[in-house]
Amino acid sequence: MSAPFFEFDVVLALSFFSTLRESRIGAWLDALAGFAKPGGIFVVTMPASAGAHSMLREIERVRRMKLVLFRAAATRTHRDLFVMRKGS
Amino acid sequence: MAQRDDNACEESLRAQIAQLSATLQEREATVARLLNDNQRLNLALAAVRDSRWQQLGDLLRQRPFGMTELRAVLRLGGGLARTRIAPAHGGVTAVTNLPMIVTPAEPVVAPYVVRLPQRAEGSRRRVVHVIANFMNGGSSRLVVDLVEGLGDRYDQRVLTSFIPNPVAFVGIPVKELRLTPRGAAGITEAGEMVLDVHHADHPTPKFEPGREVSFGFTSHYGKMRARYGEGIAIGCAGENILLESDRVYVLEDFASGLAFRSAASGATVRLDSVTVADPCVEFSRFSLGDPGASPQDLKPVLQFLGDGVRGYCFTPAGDLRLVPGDVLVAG
Repeated sequence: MSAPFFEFDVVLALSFFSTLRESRIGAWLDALAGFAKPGGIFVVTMPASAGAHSMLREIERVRRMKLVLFRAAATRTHRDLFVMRKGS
Repeated sequence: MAQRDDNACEESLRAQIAQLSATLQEREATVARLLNDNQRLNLALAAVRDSRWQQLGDLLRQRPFGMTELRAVLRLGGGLARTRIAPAHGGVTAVTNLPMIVTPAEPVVAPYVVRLPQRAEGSRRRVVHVIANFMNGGSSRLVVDLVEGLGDRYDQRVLTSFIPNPVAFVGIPVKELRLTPRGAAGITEAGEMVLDVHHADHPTPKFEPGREVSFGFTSHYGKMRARYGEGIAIGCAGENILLESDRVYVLEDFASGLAFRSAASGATVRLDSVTVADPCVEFSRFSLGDPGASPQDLKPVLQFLGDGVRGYCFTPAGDLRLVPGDVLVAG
């Protein structure tokens, strides 16, 4: 049988969400969560200037992904890191 | 005597194991607490960093200090003043329409050919890079660096909603799909357009008005697999668009007005005049796992698949680029 549809071990969205309108972040998070296989890792980076709280709020709403690491950038010119794991 | 020694030794080992287990639990609790503290401090850091005062301080420290910085200082300072004077306005910040700075167009250069390393033996972990566009920006270059540096160990793909023409990179599998009223076309990593066999411009005579683009659902594959076994791999019917869904769609669902919506742009294409994708005899035989199945054997298969289970067709009313992550919405 061919590999399962969209099931990736790692989904990397580096500086992707900062290109979206804030209202679209939740939908994209949810959709991209669907690409990760159960137990898979979803890595997101965003410019710190985009503000981390809206992203953290949206991550909480996507129930099938659990935030396992959040690392805030020291300055606004660097990037925040969010690492999530998809439930098994 | 020997028995007593054994018992004493066993008890001693048990005690040591219990002690080690307690130590381990204690250490795990410490790690968990430190991780929590770390997250809390990171949140606090983000809050301070994102505060208007901090932004204002960062800006004022910048050298050289130009008009752009001055405008930003005025905006932030104004925002602070408003917050203090009229907290009822909350985070609403008026932004004036600044003139757009247009940079001169870059000269056209040949696309960069990605150097794919030798593939390592065994199965590789699958990685997907999701980026807004596959142009010459930092994100694209980072993806290329990762493919060149780790391509031997990881099977890497790229999902994007925009591949420029001419392309910036060649040699990496990139996914993008374009729908037009004339049919579906895939865009390869080299930027070439590959027409679906049902596309109006395809040289074979398979084009049929009303059936330009086909789509199916993972839930429908679940139904087919339940009936005909695991051999029905998801996507094996060859539809242009595969939608991940838990529910089964019937033709009547599309009468209420559904649409594909691009998550990136928000643009939609309504699914007007959707029809059932009729299963062909070959696919029915394949489902049955019997290449020589008689018409009588095929009749119930055709009926089952023909009820929308095999999928649907439609003519896109406009142009749309679909990438994984786009959604089906009420139109």
